Amino acid sequence: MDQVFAVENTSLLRWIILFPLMGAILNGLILRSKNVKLSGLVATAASAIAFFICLSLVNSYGIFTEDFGQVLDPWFTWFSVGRIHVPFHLEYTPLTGVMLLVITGIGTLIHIFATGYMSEEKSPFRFFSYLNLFLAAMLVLVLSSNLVGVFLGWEGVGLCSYLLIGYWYEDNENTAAGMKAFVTNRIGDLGFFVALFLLAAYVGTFQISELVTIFAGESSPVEGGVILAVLACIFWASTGKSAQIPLYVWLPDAMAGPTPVSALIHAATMVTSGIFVSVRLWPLFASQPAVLDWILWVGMATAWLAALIALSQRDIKKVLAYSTVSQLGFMFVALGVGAPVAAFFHVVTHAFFKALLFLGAGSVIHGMHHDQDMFNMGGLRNKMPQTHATFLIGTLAIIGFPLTAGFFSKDMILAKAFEHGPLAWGLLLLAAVLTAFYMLRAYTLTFWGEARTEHAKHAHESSLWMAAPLMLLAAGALLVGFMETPPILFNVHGLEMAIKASWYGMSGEVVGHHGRHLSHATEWILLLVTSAASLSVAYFSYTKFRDQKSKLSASGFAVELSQNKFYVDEAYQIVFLRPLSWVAARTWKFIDVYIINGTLHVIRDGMRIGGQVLSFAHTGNLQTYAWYFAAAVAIALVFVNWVV
Amino acid sequence: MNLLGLFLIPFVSGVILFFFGKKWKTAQWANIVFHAFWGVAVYQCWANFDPSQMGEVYWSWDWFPMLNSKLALGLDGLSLPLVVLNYILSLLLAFYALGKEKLSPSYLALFSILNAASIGTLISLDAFAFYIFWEFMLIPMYFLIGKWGSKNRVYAALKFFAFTMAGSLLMLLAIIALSKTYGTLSWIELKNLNLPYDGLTGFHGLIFLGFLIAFAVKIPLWPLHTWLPDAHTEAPTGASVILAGVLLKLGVYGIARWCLSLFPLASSDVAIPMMTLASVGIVGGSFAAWKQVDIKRMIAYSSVAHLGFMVLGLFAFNVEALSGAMFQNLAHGLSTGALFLIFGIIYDRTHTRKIEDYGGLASKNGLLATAFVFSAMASIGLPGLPGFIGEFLILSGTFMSNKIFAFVGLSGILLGAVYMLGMLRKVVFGPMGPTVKSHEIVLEWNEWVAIVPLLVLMLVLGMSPQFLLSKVMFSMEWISALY
Repeated sequence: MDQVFAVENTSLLRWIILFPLMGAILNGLILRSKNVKLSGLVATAASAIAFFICLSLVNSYGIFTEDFGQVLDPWFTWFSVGRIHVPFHLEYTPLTGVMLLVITGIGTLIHIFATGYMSEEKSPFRFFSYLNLFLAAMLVLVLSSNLVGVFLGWEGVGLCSYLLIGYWYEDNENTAAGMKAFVTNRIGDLGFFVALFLLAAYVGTFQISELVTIFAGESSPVEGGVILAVLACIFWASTGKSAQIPLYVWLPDAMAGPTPVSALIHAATMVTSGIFVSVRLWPLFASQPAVLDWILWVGMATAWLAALIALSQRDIKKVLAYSTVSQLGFMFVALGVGAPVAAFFHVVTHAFFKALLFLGAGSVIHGMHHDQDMFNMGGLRNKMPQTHATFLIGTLAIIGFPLTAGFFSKDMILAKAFEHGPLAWGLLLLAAVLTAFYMLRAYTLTFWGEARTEHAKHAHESSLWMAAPLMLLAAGALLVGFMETPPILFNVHGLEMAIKASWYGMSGEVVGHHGRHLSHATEWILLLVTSAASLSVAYFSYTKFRDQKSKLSASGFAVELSQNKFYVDEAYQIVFLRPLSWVAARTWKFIDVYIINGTLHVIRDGMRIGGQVLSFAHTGNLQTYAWYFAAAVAIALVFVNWVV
Repeated sequence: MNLLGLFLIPFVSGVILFFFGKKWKTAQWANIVFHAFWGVAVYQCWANFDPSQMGEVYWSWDWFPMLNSKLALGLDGLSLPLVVLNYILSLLLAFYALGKEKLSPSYLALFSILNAASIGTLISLDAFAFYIFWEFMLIPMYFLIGKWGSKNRVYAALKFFAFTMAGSLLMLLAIIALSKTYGTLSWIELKNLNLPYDGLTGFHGLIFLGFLIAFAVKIPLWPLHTWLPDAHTEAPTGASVILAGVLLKLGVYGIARWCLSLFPLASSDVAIPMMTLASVGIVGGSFAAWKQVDIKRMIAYSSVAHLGFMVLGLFAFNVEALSGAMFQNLAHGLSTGALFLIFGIIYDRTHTRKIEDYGGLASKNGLLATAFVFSAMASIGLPGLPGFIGEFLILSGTFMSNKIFAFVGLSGILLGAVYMLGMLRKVVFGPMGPTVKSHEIVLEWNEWVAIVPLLVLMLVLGMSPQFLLSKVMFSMEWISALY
């Protein structure tokens, strides 16, 4: 690319990161206040200031714009050695702008919610400090202009996720879940490491703008195989962070953390990092269609597997967790069929409705005195009217009820899948139908029927602190879809414009991809089929669970499999963890203790016999030893200088 | 540059401290005053440091004409970071020692002598002078472990002494052979001679191996590492910190200074075997760390793994990996030093090292738990902390020269998370264990003074390593240009 961009410098970008960082330090190290209002206020203010800075950025540099240069904050040089040059520069693109608004906007709402939710905590400062630290790391991930900086954020959010999952650390199960998240993510991160090594060795830059403009396409100065390997490695890392097969297993366990954490980190922001980074690097992906096929089928398999598991879960947060895994699978399918705009669109809409659903679940759990089993709920719609209404909106959005946010993004993914081929479309549609089933099951079991336990009978509505964010998120879940709509309905293409303007002038067309353009009639048919299928299954699910009185007694092989998550965790234990642990213990005992030290002790015992002859000198007295030493040195000096 | 002061101040302080007798409180404060003087010398060296030279001799004294040896002192990019690290750790330990009656004047004196010896090793540009200081380090360390250590201290001290002594004897032979053959032991003169190479079993090959084995024991390279867990476990806190922070690093330093610089052909010949042993050390050390029940032993085995990374970096021979190895020296010194220090402070109160006795430290002292978790994260190379810079540079450099070893190294990054977080889970988090419940864990001001600068330094080096990398870059390029 010869095109030269207008580069604008600004030092505003760093403050988006610095405010949450300062909030984290203030709460965690300086104030350490046990007053939840104070800690919450500090953290919320830090987040809100970051949000307003993002707003002003979007205002001055534009977001839905075709004509975009480069906005850089050249902060400092992180490190630079030989062929490895890593500046710590931040960069704003319209794509980044959308993501920034989602992170800081939803982040601020969740901070407000958490101030109410965590009101009975012993050490709320710790929670809010981690939450702010998470925002800072997430913002580094999003803003960094190079992949090493992205990796700083990438592992940074992993750290915060670890700390927050294990926030209630006195319970061993929570810390185990935190550790599982960290280690599983590290398995993915090894892929990120390899991608960085490949870039250092063969490409010579980590800058996203240079990668996208110079190394995408046929004129790339390096072999296609290198770029393919880099992208495969980044995708592998994404299966960790964005919870895809085979590394998704940490995300359901991550629900051990407080619910606002599940909403912010494990639904709205962090877990979509893999998709965000892929969209940022899209022209590279588009130049390597082979990797897109892998992404498509891994995403599809994940969408299915997680949806099947979600069908039978009893814990309301577990249903939402598996639904997140499944929805992330939808996003990867979108990437795989060559539709980055659809993928990122679903990131944005999902952020709203899933954060809403999680906070709604949090409100329910709060009202139910921390009981999360849906079979113990029932009939909550009258006791928690605001939570019910907002949860319903979230549910409708996720199943794609016409004109909600999820409707537009899911329809776009399905249309793109149809362009790619009927098989991908058909399978994805079935996964969407499963979504409708398990979401209505969760909603109905929670809010309809009779109260099934004492807790459910005495459930109470949450305070305004918690209800207000729910309402704002519900508004988002209804409205954000209108930023990108199909040609047959309104024909708005704001997001597409923003994303395409973020590729430094590259088109992002997939190489060798001759997607059919759908006629309006086909689009209408697809839309109607999708909606009809989802809504009828949703209604069926509603009627099936509406009058649920006592506990479910569904059984059978399939249900058993689903309830036990297809025994994937157990399989990993048996296939990987236990053998590795066994080998570790044996290698240490056998090599270190038995062979090496054993040999040494044989030598020592041999020498001891000789040593006993000289043992009179071994007095154990420090002064005596010092004298020996001094005498020996003196003799040696004399010997060396005068005798030799 | 005040190189003589750099070495003499700790030496003289050590001698003076011996005479404080039973006045341990006065001695501890005097020790801090001595460190202030020493600090002036260190600062002068840092401020006047010339980053564009390698092996320049600033001061020299013809002390052993018979052996063709001079006491030649110099400071370059190889030695500067370790000198500074040595000073910082020692200063913080001086604060840590305040108010601890057990750390008597003779302990402080031995410690000071140890510092003089390690500084002497670092700034000597003459093989025999290097050897003298190298050996001299053993003596104070032997007593520090043997007298102030815990239950099994005598075994550990002896093992430490025997291992390192055996290694250094080979180095002494190599040095005598060099002296007899070339009539000089000066590093720069030997370098300019471009020593011939006739295969590993030839005369020069054997000289090279004599150096290499001595350093491999000190590092310690697998399978010569089993003295380390014992020494670390039994040593008193201060000795553990200096052992991990400085003494092990001298092995890495020695290889760069005496093997890589003087014997490039021989070094290339052993690169694959050395990288193999380093890789085995990374995996084996991590495995062993995972299975330890004693916290200090676990940290010691993590050192074996981390030092494996550094050896990997040395024998990749490119500027990225070499700089990474030198940087990792510092990173590991700070993070492992901090882990030993923090755990030592806890141990001072609880007197148990067993992981199972702990749990719930976070409920007892949140700030201390934070510091512990922070250091553990630095140890496993979290980006933003210095371990990441070191490991990233080492492994990308290794990847450029040999991909397989880079992949083995990556497994160490994963295993590091497994054993470190596993330990945190059982020690810092979880329900409060009996030991934690029954002891007050409240820190004195001087203990915080010892910990906090370490954490701050880690953050500074992790986010802004360039100020240091730019000082050592010339030396690394100088060495990598030989290959």
